[in-house]
Amino acid sequence: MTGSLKIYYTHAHKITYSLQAMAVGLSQIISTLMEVSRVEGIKEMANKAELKALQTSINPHFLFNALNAIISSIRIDPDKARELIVNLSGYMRYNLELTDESIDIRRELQQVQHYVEIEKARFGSRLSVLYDIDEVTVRIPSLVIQPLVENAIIHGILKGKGNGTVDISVKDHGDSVRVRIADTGAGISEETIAKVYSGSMEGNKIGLNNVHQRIKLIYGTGLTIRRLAKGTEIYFDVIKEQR
Amino acid sequence: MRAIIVEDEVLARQELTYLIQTHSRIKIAAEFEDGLDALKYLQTDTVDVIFLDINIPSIDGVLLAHNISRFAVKPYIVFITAYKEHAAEAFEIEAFDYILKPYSETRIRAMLQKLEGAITAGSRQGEEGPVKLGSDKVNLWKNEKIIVVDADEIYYASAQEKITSVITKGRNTAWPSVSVNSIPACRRSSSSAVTAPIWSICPKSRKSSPGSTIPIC
Repeated sequence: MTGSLKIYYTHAHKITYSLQAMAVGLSQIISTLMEVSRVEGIKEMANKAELKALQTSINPHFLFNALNAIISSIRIDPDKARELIVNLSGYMRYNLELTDESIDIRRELQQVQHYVEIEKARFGSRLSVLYDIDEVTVRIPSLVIQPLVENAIIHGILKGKGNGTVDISVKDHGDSVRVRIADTGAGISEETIAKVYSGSMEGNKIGLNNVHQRIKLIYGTGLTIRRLAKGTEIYFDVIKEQR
Repeated sequence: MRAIIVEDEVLARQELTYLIQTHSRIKIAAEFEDGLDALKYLQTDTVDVIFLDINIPSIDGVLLAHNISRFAVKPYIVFITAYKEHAAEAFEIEAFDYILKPYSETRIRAMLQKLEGAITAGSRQGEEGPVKLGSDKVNLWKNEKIIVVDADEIYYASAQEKITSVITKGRNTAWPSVSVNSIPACRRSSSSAVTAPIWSICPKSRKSSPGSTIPIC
């Protein structure tokens, strides 16, 4: 119960039992509404905090490793170093300018490309990335593709020995657009898949979980995660806005 | 001085190799992308130093270091990584040093100097350091006389019962230059007779050079 509701009647002794009951009912409805909006507010704050956490959780290790790759290429291949600095700047700028509003899918894909270029420089022949992108105009929440690609590289390809490939595809399906990330790496465990679906993932694997929750909140269905014969496949459908 | 690099990033590996070769006399014996491959290599080969990235495939650097710390002869471990939160763990396994990415050339040069010093001093962890001598001369006992022999002059030593014979290269009129002389050697305190265990040269004795140490068992 929140607040108080006062009703004044212009004539004395005119408040009947039914009017009294209505006043009580009204005040209860208003109180409930206030309570609900407060909870919503807290939830929104929590979501923003989580997005912020997602933004910052990517940064430190990746940043230092990227800088080390740049330092290492300055002597051997200055042109590569220059390119990597531009990639890192693009990546950082996107992350810093992020809001919780949705953005054009092409911007998110550009972010993915910046990220992938740096990782390819770091790991050389161990990592191949293939793009299959349809020309689509659709808005998506920011930072939903890049964490999935990062996940595929770090927990997929780099976990195991030898080389691997990440497939990034964006396919036009008429009413919707399917975004799919597949890798030929270590393969996700059924246990992890179950944890993501049930939302009981531990804090340190925030990326996959966060993307799943946000996609689910916006589109009703979250990520579809499958373990392949070799590697992992993750996809989600973005519903096109009605014109 | 031999070292291996365990690091799964190609650029980082190239730069580290370059820095090591530029600022030290340490030779890179092998490079690995994978923790398990490095461990396999170490079962058959010995090295003085391991430059170890923590985030590597198969087994991570901390686990690999734990394995290495149980070796009879332990190489020095230098962690090189962007993951600062492992620092406490690294020092628990007595890592020699902990270098952060991105590399600082000054910092790495200082580490390499310290490392070379430690390797030359031979105070390798887990190994009993060789006895240091003031010089590379060895006192030997012959015909009731003490003679001073250059360590480089010694061919080999052989133990018979309690007497150890040291075979040296002849070099002056007392010892014909072509012949090899067999002399009973004395023990460290030259006063008593040749009845106690005396000198012998460790089989793994390194090639001695002026100022270096001669391991005595």
